[in-house]
Amino acid sequence: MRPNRHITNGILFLAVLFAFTFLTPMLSSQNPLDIQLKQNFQNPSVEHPFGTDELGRDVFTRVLYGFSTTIRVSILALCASFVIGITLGSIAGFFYGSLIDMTFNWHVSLIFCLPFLLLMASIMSILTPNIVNAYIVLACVMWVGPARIARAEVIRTRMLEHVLASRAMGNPEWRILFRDIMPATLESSFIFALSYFPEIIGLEAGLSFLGLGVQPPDPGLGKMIFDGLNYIYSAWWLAFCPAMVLFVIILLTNLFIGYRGKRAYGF
Amino acid sequence: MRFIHTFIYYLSLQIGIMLFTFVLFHIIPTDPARIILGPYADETQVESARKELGLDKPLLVQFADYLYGVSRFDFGKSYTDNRPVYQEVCAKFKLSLFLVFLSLLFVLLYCFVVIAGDRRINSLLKLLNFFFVSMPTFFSGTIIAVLVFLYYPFTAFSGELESMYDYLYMVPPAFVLALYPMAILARILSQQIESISESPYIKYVRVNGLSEWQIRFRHILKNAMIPFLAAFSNQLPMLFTGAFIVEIIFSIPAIGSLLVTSILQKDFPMLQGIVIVNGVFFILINFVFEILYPLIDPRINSANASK
Amino acid sequence: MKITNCFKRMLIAHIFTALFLTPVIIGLTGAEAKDSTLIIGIENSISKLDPLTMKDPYTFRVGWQIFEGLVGLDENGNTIPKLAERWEVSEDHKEWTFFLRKDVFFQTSDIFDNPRKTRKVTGEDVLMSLTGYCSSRAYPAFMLLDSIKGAREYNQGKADRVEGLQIIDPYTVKIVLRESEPFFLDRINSPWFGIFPKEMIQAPNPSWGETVVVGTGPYKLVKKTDNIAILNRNKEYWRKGFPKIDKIVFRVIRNDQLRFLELRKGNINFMLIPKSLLPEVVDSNGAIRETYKDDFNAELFSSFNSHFIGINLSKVTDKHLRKAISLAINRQEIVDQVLRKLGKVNIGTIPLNMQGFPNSEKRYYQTDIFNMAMAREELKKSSYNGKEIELLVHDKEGSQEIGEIVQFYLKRIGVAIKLVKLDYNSLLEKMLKGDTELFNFFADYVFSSPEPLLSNMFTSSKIPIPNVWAFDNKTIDKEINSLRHIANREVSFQRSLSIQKQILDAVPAAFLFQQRNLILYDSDFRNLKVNGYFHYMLDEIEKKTK
Repeated sequence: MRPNRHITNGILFLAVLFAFTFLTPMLSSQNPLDIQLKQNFQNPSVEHPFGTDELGRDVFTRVLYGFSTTIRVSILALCASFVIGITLGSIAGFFYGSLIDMTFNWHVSLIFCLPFLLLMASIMSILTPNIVNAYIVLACVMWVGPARIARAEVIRTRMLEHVLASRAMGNPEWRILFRDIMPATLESSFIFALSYFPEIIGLEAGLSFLGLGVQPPDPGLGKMIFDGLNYIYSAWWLAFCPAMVLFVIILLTNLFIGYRGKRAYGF
Repeated sequence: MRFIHTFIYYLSLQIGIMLFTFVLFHIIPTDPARIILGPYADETQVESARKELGLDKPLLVQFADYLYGVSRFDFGKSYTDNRPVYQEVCAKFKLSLFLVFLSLLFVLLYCFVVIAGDRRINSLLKLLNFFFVSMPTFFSGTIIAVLVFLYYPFTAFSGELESMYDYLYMVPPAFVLALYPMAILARILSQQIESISESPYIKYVRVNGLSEWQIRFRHILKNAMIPFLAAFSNQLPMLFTGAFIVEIIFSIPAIGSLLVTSILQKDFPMLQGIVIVNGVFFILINFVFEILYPLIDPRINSANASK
Repeated sequence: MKITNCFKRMLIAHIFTALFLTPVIIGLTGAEAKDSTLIIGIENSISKLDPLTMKDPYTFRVGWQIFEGLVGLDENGNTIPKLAERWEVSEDHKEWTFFLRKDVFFQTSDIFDNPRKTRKVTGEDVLMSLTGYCSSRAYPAFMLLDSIKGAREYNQGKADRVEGLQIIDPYTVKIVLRESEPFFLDRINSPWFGIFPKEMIQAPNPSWGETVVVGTGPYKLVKKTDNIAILNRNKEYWRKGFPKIDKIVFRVIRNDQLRFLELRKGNINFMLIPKSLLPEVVDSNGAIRETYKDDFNAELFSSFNSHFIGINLSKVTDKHLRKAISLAINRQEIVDQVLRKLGKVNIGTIPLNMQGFPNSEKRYYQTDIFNMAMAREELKKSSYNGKEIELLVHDKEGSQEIGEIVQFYLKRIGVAIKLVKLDYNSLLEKMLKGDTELFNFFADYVFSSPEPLLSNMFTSSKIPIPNVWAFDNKTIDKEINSLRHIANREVSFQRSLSIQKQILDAVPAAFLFQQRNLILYDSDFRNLKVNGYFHYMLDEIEKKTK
């Protein structure tokens, strides 16, 4: 049961990215919250590689800090939803047909058919709107995706020979589940969960649309893109620079995980 | 027998959805009566408005009243405008339906090209699609919208589908909406095609001398359909309520923007109405696809089908 | 038949005349056939056009072209007659008698079942309309409940009519007030109090506000959907010769950048420029950029607005801290950089363009508005312990930016601020509950003189709304009440300013500025007038003929 190359690649990449987020703030000597009103809307220059925003703050520094916040919390949300999803999904798939499975299905369908935005907005109106809360709620809603995949995969693999053999050998149920079945399901669920990574980052911006997520004046990648779109005629760099950074991140993610042309992990 | 079983399952799901949202709205600390009357009204006025809306009755009674109303297609009245919710949601849903329909046309077109096209075209399209999908939707949506408004002649929208211009206006937003599903579905499709192409069955059929097109569209496609349809059924509900970003950018008054506006204005009857219609639609899609799977692949017994 | 010479000459004469006259005729009919249309871009959809329940600015824009009240406000701040051609007021300023015009007809509609589909506006319509505005379902009721005798009792259901509204004869209406109010007209000259037919109250129609909209104004509704409202010229408008434009179309384009594109392409003719587009349209001195000068007229209008950082006096109780906060904010810099000089610093809340404001408003209060040294001193005198104070901002234009700037300014003197961004409605709710410390908000006043402003915003009976800062001072209450007995506008204004000064000493808010709004419209049009309520008075706008 060697760990699949893609999963190790993926985990390595995420870990490096996570560690990198602690380094990026040090790349710039300026303060992301430093308002210099008279220097607003400066074009990109040597002093300000990404220009300045509407309050004169250096966009490059803000992008670095925003990258740090957004990516860090997105990775954590991704991992949380992945872990919860795989666990619950596998258990449900293992007990396919029983009451546990039906309850699971019912709850997953329920969460799935409620408009995601509604859930987020309702829960956030009870809690205080800050980025940590937003991502906790995000993880609680996003686990259904990986869970569904895990369940489908477990249903498929539990009929396979090596599982029957393991049972014949007298292994306890939980051991079968964890040792034999789950490794097979991990791969496809992981790929699926990872494909959600760009979406989670984009969701942060969608949340800032409703006022949930990163609170001002802290920078957040998605929020910066969203606010920057307001000034697209007069200051194109405000939206384009964070968007390019995001694009590079997604590109790197896809390259490192690299599921192009490999066996079907379709769901 | 199984039909009754499925029916009860789905009915309980629908009621569960309604109950969940009902409870959710009553946990949230807002005062609908105050919202309707505005911030300047007297406290006594707000009290009497509260009584009129039936907000002082116990929760269970309110829920029962609501269920009774729903069974008669009376979803209540909106808090903001006093418009009947049912008519409003249905009208906006029609618009959403057309938008989704156009998007699906784009998606199917793209999938067709993926199946039929050669490597170079596919690679180019995939690159472009990848570019658009790596940005948040509002970013690519706004850029495309700006380009559209600069060069496309049909940029006036009356809010309803009345004239030819309105139908033509919907083409760019449908395209933007289709970008994300296009990417996902095409990726699955191409993966499936590649893996199935290597299977012995296809090699046998190829040796037999069938034309490339026949192979692709009859044999490969059938095998690739199941995962494709599974992903398709996943994406479909999101195209309705999840389209709010596109709707707000292009000023289309459909379900998505109605959802956002109702959330911001805490218009609970409207939100409940949207959730119900969304739930019904989701159940319908699930049901249709459940029937489709055994039809396409007779190997799948419905009892074994993964949801 | 022989064609005589005479006949030939006549024929030639006729042909020549015809050839000469034809272009003239074609020219005339051509000019008549070409309608002039003004297309206005607005940013959110239009809800029900019911004058009793209209709440949001986009609906107002449309509704105020259709409905008019007894009196109106012109662009210079004067009250002008509308449906009432003249009025008389009693000695004690308690009884106001309005003499209605006898030639005003309602816009044609099927609700009137006579062949002409219209009827004259009478005193009964005015009575029913004003009574409607006092009822519990009317949004603008709060403006009248303090003034008109018996309005409060009617509003609470204790009476079945408003005692202070009386019909003297079919064209004369008398309004009796609870107390003396020399400037009562400045309360009702707002377009909020449009007169509508009595059938709307007596025989309510479910399509009222959607397809059935009947007023007396210069334009009448033809069609309304979520994205478009089409208004046609009211041919029977009482003001002869107006309006000059045949059709007004309101188009909803939510995205600011796309709306601006439509303006530049010529698909819309008229647009209010939001803050986010200011850097594109004006340069850093507030002047229009060259690219737009030729095709567009750019005009600035000041409405009666006031932008402020409100302070909840029941939560932030330390007066020295409040003074420090107010002194640390460089308002001029905000106006220069964020508004691009399209605004004026206002240390108080009474709008600077209200009629009666003394001309030397430069330093009408001899106090410092921005002084860092004094701010630090006040902070030292206070008992501030470094705890974070919450500043709430909302999502409408500019609020977040102002919040971030204020946070930065206060950090410079050592006050820690935590920013919390909510949507507009949630912020309003929090203000209602008194659950705020500092909040960035703005007010768009709908009265054109200072007494209702002071009595609404600063009397203790108005806590928590509109007295959002919980200002509670019995002496000030008495002084505001005494304004009722001053009949001279200048004296009254001076007194209001001195009362405001006393209020400002307690620092209920850091009032920032009064904003000026920029409207960009096609240079083919001219004669746009906008009054202090930011009502586009489109009856006089006209399109230049080529």
